[in-house]
Amino acid sequence: MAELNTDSHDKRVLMKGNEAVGEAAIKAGCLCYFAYPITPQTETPEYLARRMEEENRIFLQAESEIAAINMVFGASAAGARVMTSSSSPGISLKQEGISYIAGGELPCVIINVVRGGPGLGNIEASQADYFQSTRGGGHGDYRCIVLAPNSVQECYDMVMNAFDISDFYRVPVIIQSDGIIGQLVEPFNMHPYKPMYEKLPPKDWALTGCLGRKPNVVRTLFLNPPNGLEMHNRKLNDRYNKIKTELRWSDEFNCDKADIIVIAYGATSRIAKSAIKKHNNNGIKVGLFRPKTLWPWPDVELVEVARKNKGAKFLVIEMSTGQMIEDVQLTLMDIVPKKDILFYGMGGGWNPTPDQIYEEISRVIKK
Amino acid sequence: MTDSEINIMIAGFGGQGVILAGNVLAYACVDAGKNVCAMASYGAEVRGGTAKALISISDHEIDSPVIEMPNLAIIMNAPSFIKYIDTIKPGSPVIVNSSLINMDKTTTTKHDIVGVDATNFAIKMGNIKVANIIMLGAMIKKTHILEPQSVVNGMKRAFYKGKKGLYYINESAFRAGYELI
Repeated sequence: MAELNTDSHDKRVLMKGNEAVGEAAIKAGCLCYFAYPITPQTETPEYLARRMEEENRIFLQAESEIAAINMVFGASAAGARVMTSSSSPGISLKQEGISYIAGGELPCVIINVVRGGPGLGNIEASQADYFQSTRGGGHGDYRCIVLAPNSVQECYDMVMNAFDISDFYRVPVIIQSDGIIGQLVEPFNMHPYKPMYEKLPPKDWALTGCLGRKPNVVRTLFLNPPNGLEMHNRKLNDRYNKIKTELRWSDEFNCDKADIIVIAYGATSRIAKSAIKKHNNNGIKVGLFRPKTLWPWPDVELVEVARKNKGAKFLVIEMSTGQMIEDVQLTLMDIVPKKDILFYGMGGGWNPTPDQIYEEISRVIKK
Repeated sequence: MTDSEINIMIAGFGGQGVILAGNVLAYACVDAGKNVCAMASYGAEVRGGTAKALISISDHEIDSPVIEMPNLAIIMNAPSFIKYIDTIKPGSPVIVNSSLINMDKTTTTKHDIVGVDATNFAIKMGNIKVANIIMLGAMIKKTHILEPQSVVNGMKRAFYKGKKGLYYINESAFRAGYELI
């Protein structure tokens, strides 16, 4: 968007979430970006069409989502920092490519600005792709790291982090945004790129031309030896377990001796926070637990919240008919009675209002 | 949404600059050091269809980007008035474009209605497109939610470098709107 050309002291920049995603990719050194337009994520390719050219990098509007993800596969194999973005139906199309990228142990960043489904669904905000992102999505035993921003600032910060995390673990990273967060215009601090790690491992596996060195091979087919794929899966699984111990992000608000803990992520967490503050003002003890990484799931942190808030009821709120609640139930099954884990939500591009969540919390209190 | 939050709806038909007026307002808030959160209708919007921008302004952290009930509005055309007037909090100021909305039809509502002959005045200024900024000027005069200078600075931010002509006519439109009521 506009350059700052005023004499104002406030150096915050105003952008849509989708545009902040694009600028963060530029700042993080994303060399190639391949995508296909779809509402509500099109501002990212629109923004990068201009910015990538300015930076003399690669912007390519592919002929389809499938083409775009396979271009990501190729660029990543060649060692480039690479990103693609889409919204739910387009992300479904990309699943085969994501499975290959995960199998080939390649880093990349994938943006999903989730909209209502199934099928073409609609263009409203939704969180119905939780299962798809956190369970792999395509075929085979693999996981993607999933980060869920709830503001334009976090869109910017998390995309930068995503490139580093992906290079560090050689695992695809998905930014799970939604139609509200992507379209939201907010001021944010556009700070310079801050690397997450002191040093990233060298990309000595990249296909950069093998003149004078042993050829590298990026493979996803393991026929020999007969247990080759098993060994490969074991190696991936060890890595996923390492990620589970090193990368669980979550946020807490008033999770101290609360009677009710609301669990929500993305746009829903902000709508819920408005309702929670209103209850807090009336002296009702309600807290908010917000997962910022959807995979790895912040299980240790949630258990700790349950321990700190003994006897509390847990209200999971999602813009879906209930997906994240399964992770909550699995995490709390030994410490919270199942009847105390409640759900509020709807699919189809529906989003709650602060008043609706306020009323739902009131209902839970009366139960 | 807290009581100190100002939640503004700007509505009109696609092409009237509803979204742009919202962006200018958001830039003005950044200039004034306030927090702001803006959502515009997106998707299959076309010139002539309805368009809507929702802007929350606060000195505190803004949580919900979803606005329950706007407590201030700018309405640019008659279909938007009919569609949205009941969603606006009773008693709130509503600035209506009297060039395109029959003011007799606005007397039955429980809002603080202010008519501004924005489209006709914009035509007189030589560019029908600045009606949105004229409305914005009138709204700022009516409500004093921001200093006029912040909006002027906001317009400097909102209009790209190299389109200075656009900035100047919009600044004139803003000042005209400010003087109209």
